[in-house]
Amino acid sequence: MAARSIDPFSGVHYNSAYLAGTSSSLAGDRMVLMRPGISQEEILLELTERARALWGEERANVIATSLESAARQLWEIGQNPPDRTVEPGFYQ
Amino acid sequence: MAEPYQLNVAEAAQQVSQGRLSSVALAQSMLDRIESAPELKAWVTVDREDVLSVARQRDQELQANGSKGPIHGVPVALKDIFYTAGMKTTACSRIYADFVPTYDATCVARIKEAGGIVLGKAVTTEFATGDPSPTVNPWDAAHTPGGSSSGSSVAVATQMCGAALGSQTGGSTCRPAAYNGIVGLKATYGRISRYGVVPVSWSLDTVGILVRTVEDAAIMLQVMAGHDPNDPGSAMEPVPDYLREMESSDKPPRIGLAREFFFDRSTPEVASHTQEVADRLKQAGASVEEVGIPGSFATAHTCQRLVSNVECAAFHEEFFRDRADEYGPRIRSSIETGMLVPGVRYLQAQRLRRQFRRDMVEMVKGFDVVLMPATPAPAPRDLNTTGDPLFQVPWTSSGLPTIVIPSGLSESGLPLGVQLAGLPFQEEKLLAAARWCEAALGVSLSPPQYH
Repeated sequence: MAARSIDPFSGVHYNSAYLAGTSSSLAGDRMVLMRPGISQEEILLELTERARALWGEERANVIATSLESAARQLWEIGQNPPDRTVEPGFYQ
Repeated sequence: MAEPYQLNVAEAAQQVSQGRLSSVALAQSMLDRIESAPELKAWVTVDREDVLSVARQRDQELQANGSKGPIHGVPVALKDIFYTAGMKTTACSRIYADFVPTYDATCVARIKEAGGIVLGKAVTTEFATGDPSPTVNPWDAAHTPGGSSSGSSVAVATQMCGAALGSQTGGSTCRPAAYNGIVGLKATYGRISRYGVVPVSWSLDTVGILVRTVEDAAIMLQVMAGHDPNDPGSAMEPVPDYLREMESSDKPPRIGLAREFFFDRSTPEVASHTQEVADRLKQAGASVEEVGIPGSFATAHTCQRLVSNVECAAFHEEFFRDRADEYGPRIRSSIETGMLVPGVRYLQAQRLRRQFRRDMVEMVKGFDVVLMPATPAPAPRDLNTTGDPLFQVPWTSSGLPTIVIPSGLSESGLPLGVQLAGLPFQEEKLLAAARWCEAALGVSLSPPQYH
């Protein structure tokens, strides 16, 4: 299968087979984004699928850059687990 | 003799309280000034008759009972996200276009209790987020005035008022302050109540103060600081007498110079300007020592962005269901992206923020203040952006207080500023150091066309 880009500026490519078939099962799986070892590209694929499911193809394309940023953020946070003793600091 | 609109808050308050200037004359002068520059698009709502009516009332109160407080009879501008009873609070959005609150935000109520007058509502970017506002940079209309507190900053820079309220979730007070050549204070998270302020992100939003002098920042902080049971993030920390503390501490500060990251990410002009500022302060007697940034700095911007998007999405979810098309493109993307973030990652970001705050406190601890450039570059020549909050985000995310003071002009004639950061709930030390630096640098900027 040929790879295709969701955003001509992103440089991120993924397989159309994912879009055509496997993605639909993943879209309903809330745990995919938490899978250990998930790559930034895989996070982006999953976010894009969810965006399509929620707001449609057109909006998913419009927010492609935001989705890339979000994928990078999610990946980075996943790579930097906080110290086990630290609680969230909502109200500093 | 200065026109009334040219007076800073301290000067205006003194003249009014001593009976040398009426509140009506002061308000009238500012209203005329506002009307003389509609091209700046700094205001959403100004009710001339209402302002003059309250000013008359303040003059009567002064005669009958004396001064109500430190800003008696002084008009103050509010970013249009602060609730004002009976006056529209639009957040410059279609969603809130007709929203008229039934009560004042706590900080607005405190301004009124201190004798202040609401001069009007200043333009903000939509819901205080990233879609640029129509407000014009008075230094050069081709450059952004910054955001989101764009109207508040421009109003103060062009002497339409001496003080304005803004807010900061990323860099929305200190960045526009720097771009417009004025003083911007972001207090410690929890120092000033957020009750009655349209939120972007509950755990990041901080009320900001935009003024032309550090002394005025201290006055405005004094008026608004203190616990508010209506704000769950409001701190119980006691409020010192900022002016007295500031005045009693005139010794040269111990300054940590943050070159790492801040100089690396600045233009060569800004980096060398900031080094020159540090050198001048050292020559004037300050101790200046380089300070490194903590390792947790690496994820600070990421955590702020993610938390901000998720909380923004949570706040807007109800409106967004039926009215998504009424949002601007950037806030709409933020909301849509925020809705996709897993809860666990949001909480990890909040845990990382807490860890980061501890590390930032350690970084600042050995100094009175940490000094860095206010922005990576002067206001960009691009009206599709509000500029880069890069140098504000770490401080907003960690909740530490910062102040921006003007420090010079770029080669292109735009304002440059430096940012000072202090320890949580030690604004008195931050203000004292800032005032010392302000005096040592002796820089006061005013856009030539609006001088």
